[in-house]
Amino acid sequence: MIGLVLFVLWQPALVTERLVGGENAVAILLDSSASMALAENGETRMSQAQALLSEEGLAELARYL
Amino acid sequence: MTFCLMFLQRKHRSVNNFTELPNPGVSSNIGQSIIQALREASNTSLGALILVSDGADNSGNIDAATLSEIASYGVPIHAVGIGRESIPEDLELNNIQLPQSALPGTTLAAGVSILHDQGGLTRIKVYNGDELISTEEIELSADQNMTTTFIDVEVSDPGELDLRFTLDPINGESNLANNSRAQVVDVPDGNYRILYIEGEPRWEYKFMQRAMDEDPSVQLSTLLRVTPNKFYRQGIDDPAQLEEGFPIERAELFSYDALIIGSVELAEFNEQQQQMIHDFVSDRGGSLMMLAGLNGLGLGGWSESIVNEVLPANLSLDNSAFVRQQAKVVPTPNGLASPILQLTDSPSENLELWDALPNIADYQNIGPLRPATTTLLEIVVDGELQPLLVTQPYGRGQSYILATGGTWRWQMSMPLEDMSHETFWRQLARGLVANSPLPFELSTTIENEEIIVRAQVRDPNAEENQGLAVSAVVSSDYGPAMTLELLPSSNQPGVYEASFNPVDTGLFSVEAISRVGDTPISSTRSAIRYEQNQEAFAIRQNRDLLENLAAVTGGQYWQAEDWEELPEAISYSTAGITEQDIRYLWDAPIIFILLILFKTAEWLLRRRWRTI
Repeated sequence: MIGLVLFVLWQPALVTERLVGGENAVAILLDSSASMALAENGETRMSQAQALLSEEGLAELARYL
Repeated sequence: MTFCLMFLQRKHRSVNNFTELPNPGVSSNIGQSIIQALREASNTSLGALILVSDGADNSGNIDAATLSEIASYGVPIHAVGIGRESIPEDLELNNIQLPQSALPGTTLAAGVSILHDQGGLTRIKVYNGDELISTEEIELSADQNMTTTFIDVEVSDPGELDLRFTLDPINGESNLANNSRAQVVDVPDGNYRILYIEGEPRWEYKFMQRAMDEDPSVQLSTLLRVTPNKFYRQGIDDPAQLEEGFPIERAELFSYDALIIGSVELAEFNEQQQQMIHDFVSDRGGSLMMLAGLNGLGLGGWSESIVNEVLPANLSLDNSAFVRQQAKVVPTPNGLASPILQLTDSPSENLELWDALPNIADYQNIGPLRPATTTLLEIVVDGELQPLLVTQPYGRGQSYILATGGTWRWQMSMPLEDMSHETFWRQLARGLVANSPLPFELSTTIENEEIIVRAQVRDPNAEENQGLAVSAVVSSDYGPAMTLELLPSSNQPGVYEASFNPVDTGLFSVEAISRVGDTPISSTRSAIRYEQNQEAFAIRQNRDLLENLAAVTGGQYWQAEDWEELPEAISYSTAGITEQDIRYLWDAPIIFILLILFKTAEWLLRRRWRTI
């Protein structure tokens, strides 16, 4: 109990680091080599990747920058 | 560059969302692409780099230096893995291990590694040009995803072997491009030369010479001491060769590829000659083999010479008795894997042949082995094994000790038609010379879609020759031949380099000529097959590489289905322009919960102890 009070008096804090909104960029590097043209389950790897990097996907990502 | 790059910002979001892509490249170099992207971003406050890839890097993976260069930018890489990590319906001919050159008449054991995700059977076919030269059924292990086997390839005539290894497809396999690999083996037509000096006429000398006589690729010149200071010469090209006995000039000794010293004592060689023998191995890159005998090895005083440094055992005068007692020879596992000890193609038959060999006539103790020594043959003496044929690399060359002068019993005690003794000595001779560097060496490799031609030229004293002009004529299946001028390498003396971009796939033959002014000095040739199918290989998602990239940069590996969690993780990046979010804990709910718990526990304890 005394320990807990001392711990609180010590003013513990949780420090996290975050990107400052609107000040940063991310680089997106998409592999466009021939192996990305391989089809798996009726869809090429490239189209799987492009689906992730759709207009909506990028908009969601940009919201956190 | 086979990667597309875009920079995404909240304020100026690019409209390019990767709908327009360049033509796919023939190979991927992930490491260099990342470095280039990070360099381009040097004026941008970059919070993270997102890599969307299958991790298939055809440049030979990312080395430690490239990884540390990437990490030095301090930008976390979030690697999103695309593609399956396991493709059960696909076989991949992962690797073929063959030397770039081989002597005519030898049998090469080609190491073939097959990547697979299920067990089963396949068949491999080996073609030389259009001719099928070998076929073998291979059982693929169900417990591991890489099966390695060895296929024998006969090397017959000088020229080149244009080999293609092809796997039969398995059920449902659609990507057949990674079932086949090509490799060219140069087969030089020059003779290799061995000098053998023997101190006394003995059976071993006679039978060894007879065994090697039949080999057209190896020329054995011998010096046999018949009386003190008088040598009988055999296998010489002209009357002046070895006229003065053992060579006294470096250039003369270095014109041989291997040196065998039999039962001849150290005192026969002056200090300069001993130094030359040492340098013959360390600088020239030749092979030295010492044989046992009454005047051989430790008994010949060789432990007192600089030559002892070269040898695979530390000779000593004591405890080096030459014992005239028969002994059974046993190949070690290393020996059975060595081409020198292949008496026949089949491993089981080979073992039987070695087991059937008669005892050797004598043996000699050789002293403690060096740390890098490999034992190929042992003998059984009083129920214990002791080394008989040992070898170690030294400098540019290799040294051997054969601690007997009595292999002749293999010939004398076996039927006339048995070829074990001849085969052993021919293969040993070939083993001695196989890796001997030529004065003019040419190599061809493929790096970053270019063919690199490298030539190394040494003068007769094995010094790098730097005052030459070297040119190469490249011819192929299509188009006219082209001439390349090889330029001296800036960091490797004696090495000349040039490169070219092949305009098409196919076989490229390179003939190089060294000149002083307009006078040709020497020439040599090599060949290479260029194929643009690297992207057909390594098609499984290389998750290890992606995880490694993420780990060294402080990022994270993501599977495609977890993409939605990625933006929030990036917002906690420590790269770019960041702010600290300090949250004091004194008013955190956990503190108040703990306070209540402590007070409740105190009340309960006091009740139990009846203090309230």
